[in-house]
Amino acid sequence: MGKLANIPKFDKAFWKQVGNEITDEIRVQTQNKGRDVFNKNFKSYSRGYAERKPKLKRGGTGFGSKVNLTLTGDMMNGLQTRGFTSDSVTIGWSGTNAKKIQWNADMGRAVTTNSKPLSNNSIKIAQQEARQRIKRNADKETAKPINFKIGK
Amino acid sequence: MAKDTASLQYAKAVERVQQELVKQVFDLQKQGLSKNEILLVLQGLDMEDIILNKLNLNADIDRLMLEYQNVLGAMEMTGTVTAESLTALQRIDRNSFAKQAGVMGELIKKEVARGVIAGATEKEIADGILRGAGGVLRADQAETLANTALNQFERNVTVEMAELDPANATYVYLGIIDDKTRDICLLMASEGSLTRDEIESKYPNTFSNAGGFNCRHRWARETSRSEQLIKPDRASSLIQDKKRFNPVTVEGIKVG
Repeated sequence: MGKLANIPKFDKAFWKQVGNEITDEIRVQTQNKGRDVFNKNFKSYSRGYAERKPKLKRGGTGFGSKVNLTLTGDMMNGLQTRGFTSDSVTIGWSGTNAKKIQWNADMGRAVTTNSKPLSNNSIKIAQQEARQRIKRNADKETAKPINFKIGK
Repeated sequence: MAKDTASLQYAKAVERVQQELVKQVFDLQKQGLSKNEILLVLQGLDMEDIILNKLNLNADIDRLMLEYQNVLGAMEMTGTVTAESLTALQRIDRNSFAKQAGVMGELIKKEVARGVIAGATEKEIADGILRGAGGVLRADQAETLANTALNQFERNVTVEMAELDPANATYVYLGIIDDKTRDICLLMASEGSLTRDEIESKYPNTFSNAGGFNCRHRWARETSRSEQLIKPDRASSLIQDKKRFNPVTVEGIKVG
């Protein structure tokens, strides 16, 4: 049998995977479902912006006037796994995209906040990934060797 | 300073340099030099040196390079990216901006010479150059170049981080799919998931370059949520609707 102390151990690859899963969940929550970090529908855009949105430069369709914080897609595409160690992962935005996220939060459309950085769904994903990894580690560490005797 | 602001400031610096160059040539005229004498002076000028050192675009390039540090500051280092490779990437970009300044200078020289011979006024020549006459880099193009370089640098760091992924890891092409999407991006978005080797073989260098300048897409590691984020069928349908379809990478390689 291996060491039980290894069961709750995670590595860099695990945390990177958790980061990738959570960033995609935030994109689904924001862009596909149009919901904020509290799982509430985003506050409506002003009438003027909702009318202008589909026509804006480099905007593309951006899902039309639907409130999903998506015009060019740059902001939500900028959400990435930005660093990982064997104990943690950092996800987020940089530069202009980070400012846009903050501005949206200030306007009442929060993708993340200091008091609630992740939605309940995102937290569930992290827990699920951890459970799977612990089970895999446990199976590996507690596996009993099976001996085959071949021949006489 | 944010990436977009840094790019805009660089664009303004390029515009300032262009206006200053034209003004200095016309100062020669005001000093009484003939057309021929002005052309002889122009011929002997080392435009790269003038732009970078005398008009100090070097300082503006240095300011742009500071933004590279900010990009790194937002990307926690993981041990997979070495300081040497990051420094090399920054130096390559810095040299590229310096060389672009030299090329821009030579084009401005040609355009000013053409204007002087044609008897154009200082304002006419300056306005023409600012509009991109003779192929001179316009301010908005300089801004796009700077912005693309910064985005590219961020992508390169992300690509370095992907080195930790196993060889059989799969990736999907993330980003908006609409009628403005480039042909190459539509084609990659229609693929669904591919391994890194498959991407490099079918779409060379797009793992770091994506679709090129101002691209709104990137290859991202496939996750359990990817299916809800990508639209390969929509991309295929847009391809079918196209009268002309010409998917090429930013390096001009025809694919598909």
